[in-house]
Amino acid sequence: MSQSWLLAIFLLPLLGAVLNGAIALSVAMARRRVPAATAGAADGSTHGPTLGGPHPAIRSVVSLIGVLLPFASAAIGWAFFAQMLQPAGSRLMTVDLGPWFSAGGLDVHWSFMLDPLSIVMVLVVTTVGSFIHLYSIGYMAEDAGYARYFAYLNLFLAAMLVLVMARDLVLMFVGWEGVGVCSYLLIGFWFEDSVKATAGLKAFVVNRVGDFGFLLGMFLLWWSLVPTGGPTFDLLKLPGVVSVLSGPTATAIALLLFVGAVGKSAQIPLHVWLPDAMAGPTPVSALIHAATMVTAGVYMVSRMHVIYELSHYALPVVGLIGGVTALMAATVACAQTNIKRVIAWSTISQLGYMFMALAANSYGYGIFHLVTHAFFKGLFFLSAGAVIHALHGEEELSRMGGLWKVPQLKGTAIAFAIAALANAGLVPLSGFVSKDAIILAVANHQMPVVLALAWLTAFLTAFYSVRLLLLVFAGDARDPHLAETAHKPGWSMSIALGFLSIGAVVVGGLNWPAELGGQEWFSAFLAPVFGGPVGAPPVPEPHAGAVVGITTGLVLLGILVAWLRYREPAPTLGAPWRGTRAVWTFFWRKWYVDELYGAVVVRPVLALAQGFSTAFDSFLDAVADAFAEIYDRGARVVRLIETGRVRSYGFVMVLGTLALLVVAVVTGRR
Amino acid sequence: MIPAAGYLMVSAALFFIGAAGFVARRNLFTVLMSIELMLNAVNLAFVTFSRQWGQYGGQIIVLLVIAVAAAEAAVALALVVLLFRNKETLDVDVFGQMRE
Amino acid sequence: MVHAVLFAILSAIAVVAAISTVLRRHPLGSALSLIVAMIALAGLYALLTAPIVAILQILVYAGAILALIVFVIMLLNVRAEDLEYEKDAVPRTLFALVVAALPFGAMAWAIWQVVPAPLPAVATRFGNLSAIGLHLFGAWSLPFELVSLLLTVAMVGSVALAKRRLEG
Repeated sequence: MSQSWLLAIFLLPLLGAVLNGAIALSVAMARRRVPAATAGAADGSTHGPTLGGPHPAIRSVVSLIGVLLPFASAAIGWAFFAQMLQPAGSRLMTVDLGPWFSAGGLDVHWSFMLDPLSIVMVLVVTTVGSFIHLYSIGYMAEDAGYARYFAYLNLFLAAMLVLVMARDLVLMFVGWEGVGVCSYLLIGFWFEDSVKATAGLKAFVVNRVGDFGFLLGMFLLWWSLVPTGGPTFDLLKLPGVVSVLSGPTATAIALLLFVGAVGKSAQIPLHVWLPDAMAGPTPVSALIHAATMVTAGVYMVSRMHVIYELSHYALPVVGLIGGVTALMAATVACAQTNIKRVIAWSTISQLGYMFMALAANSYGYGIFHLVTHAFFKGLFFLSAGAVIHALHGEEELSRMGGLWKVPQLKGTAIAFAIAALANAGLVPLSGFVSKDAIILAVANHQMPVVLALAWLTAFLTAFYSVRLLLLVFAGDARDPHLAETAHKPGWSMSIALGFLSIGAVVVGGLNWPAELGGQEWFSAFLAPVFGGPVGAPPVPEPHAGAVVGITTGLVLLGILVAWLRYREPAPTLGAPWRGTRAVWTFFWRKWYVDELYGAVVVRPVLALAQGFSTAFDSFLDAVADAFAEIYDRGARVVRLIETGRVRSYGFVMVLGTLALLVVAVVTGRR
Repeated sequence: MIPAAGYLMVSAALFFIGAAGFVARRNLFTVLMSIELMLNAVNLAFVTFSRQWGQYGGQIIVLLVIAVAAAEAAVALALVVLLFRNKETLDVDVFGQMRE
Repeated sequence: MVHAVLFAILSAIAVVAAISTVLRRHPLGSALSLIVAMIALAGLYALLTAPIVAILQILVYAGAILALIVFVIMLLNVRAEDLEYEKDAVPRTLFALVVAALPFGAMAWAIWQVVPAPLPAVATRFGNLSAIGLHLFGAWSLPFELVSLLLTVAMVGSVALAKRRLEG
């Protein structure tokens, strides 16, 4: 297979986006022509402002385009992967489509590449993404914006693939912004609901802060490479060039880039957008806000790891931010009462783990947690989505409970349980493997604070995962009517749930830690990207047994505590133990971060804007009025000259000619 | 040989005669023809300069001006017909609608 | 010598005919005077070794444009009583001509200051058909084509105008 086929990986979803976008537009136009009342009757099941699904034929076409193209893209990705695995196969493929723009010394090309890191990201994005697309067929079937939804989702896939396949940092930024836009569009997918539209806006604005840091980092990188004579954004050449950077410069660049990663991957202090992003359809939460886009920050930091390693402070900061975020998000997840919010906070927490891994110089583990997380968190969201779908859009835990007894939801319950336990990190599910590797790496890397944070988070993760599982499925139904009318997930949803369930269980086998007798095949595959020799044996942690023992003990303890507290028929959703009410409220209100930002940032900015608006409005109005007045007065005078007689105009013309003649005679030279 | 100045003076004379007619007369046709007169005066100047400097540009421009004048005459006469049908007069000063 | 005499005669005819054009009360008289002025001008062009321009001046200006004007004047059937509004045309125009003599004097003086030199000799082929044609379709082909476009537009425009009736 020729290397240029790698373009197809992102061009196919892009084609899907274009086709489905065209269909969505024409459907919208047709609907505008037909009065809304006849546009299609909504049947009982609604989640979000539904107008009734599209015509079945259109729906089939949209589904075919929207799902088959991602699968085709995934197939191409796997073919490349197979090629890479061959002993003689090249581990690096590049395609250059020629220059995009060049300004000064900056020469940006449409150049793409596949190396082990990129192919791993491509496989995660396309494979998990394709199954989430498939799932969407069932989940979104009755939505009026069916074609629009698939257009956005395909576009997201294309942008994400550009992000991970870009060979140039600028091109990567294009993908970075592209996924941001798609995320905004999909969070605000049901934009008739102003709360949801605002959530999209919030995600976008908060991400701007991060993107600003990313951009500054890029500028600083370029600027500090100029003295070397060969500044470049080429990701393949950068590692060879950046070694000239001094420590402080590298720290500044690394931290600025990390601001971008913090925004995209929802770490403290820019984590506030991700919980609100749950306003989007659940498959979107699974794809964008769990499996792929939010991990872009992790990918970016790993991709730029050379710069981070030049600095003494950058990686410890990354680790600390990751650790604090992981713990904070886990505490918040413990107290949430909305099924999707729990999972969203859990995602933030798991992303924190990935950053901890990067900080411990164990990029392979970070990326591996990214992969397993894509499976088990995607599954978590999709099974939660199946519950929500079955309950006609209900997301509040206060109306769930007892769903295990509903025969239609048995399969969903099993998938949900697998996801929850994998998330909790129970042996031997994938979550356990990748998280344990990270904790081992952190311990090995002598980072006691981060290790403590990681352990505490492991305990809390187990607790809230099982709490969620029990609150949804165990005990008595808190809303019997809702439980009775629950329906089975459709075939497409079931297939996706099945696939991801298997993945969530077995993917861990790819990188079973060496300390537990594994081969760490996955880390070895990625090693060349991170500068390590191919197939080098990892240095084992001397106290591996103790570390793994403590982790597993904490996980089991968390599971046990949650089990004891929430297995009863009617558990309370609020503070679980007497005397914890204040803490619980603190957690439930998300540590009051939103309130803090509201008081410190949002309200002052709004007040300032209001002030400027008023001041400038009156000022500009006054200026405009003054000009209008001047012209009005002037026009009253000038109007007198205007006789409407052709001859008087002609006379003036002749006078003008004479004036020109005089000028010519006076100034003309002999 | 008559110097270029002679031709240019004839040109200037024709131009000012046309200008005087353009300003003084009120008959639509005569005003039109005054304009033609001015155009011709300019043409004469062009041809004179063409001869003076041995360049063809002046003559070519005159050919183009003649073509433009033909176009202008066609449109202008159509307008005259229209105006006359409307107001039953050729008095230029009656057509003051431009002011409104 | 012949040249000077011809110049004197032709320019005298041109100026007199021009004055007659602006002085005549009836447009038909003006038009006929203008034709005379055009033909005299054509003679002047010929004197300036511009035979092609001279021929086209007669063909297009005198032959086509003026004929069109005459035709429209007769079409509208302008009678003496239609011209009542302009009883004072002759004295007013005479006054205008006298006033115009002032800037003309200034300009004549300026011309005399600037180009007193006699006309230089030119090649015998100067101004003949092939030379004009080569220039017209060479360096000047774009303006030439634009003019043809303009003529088309003018044709369409005049047809549209003549077919329509203004209300009010």
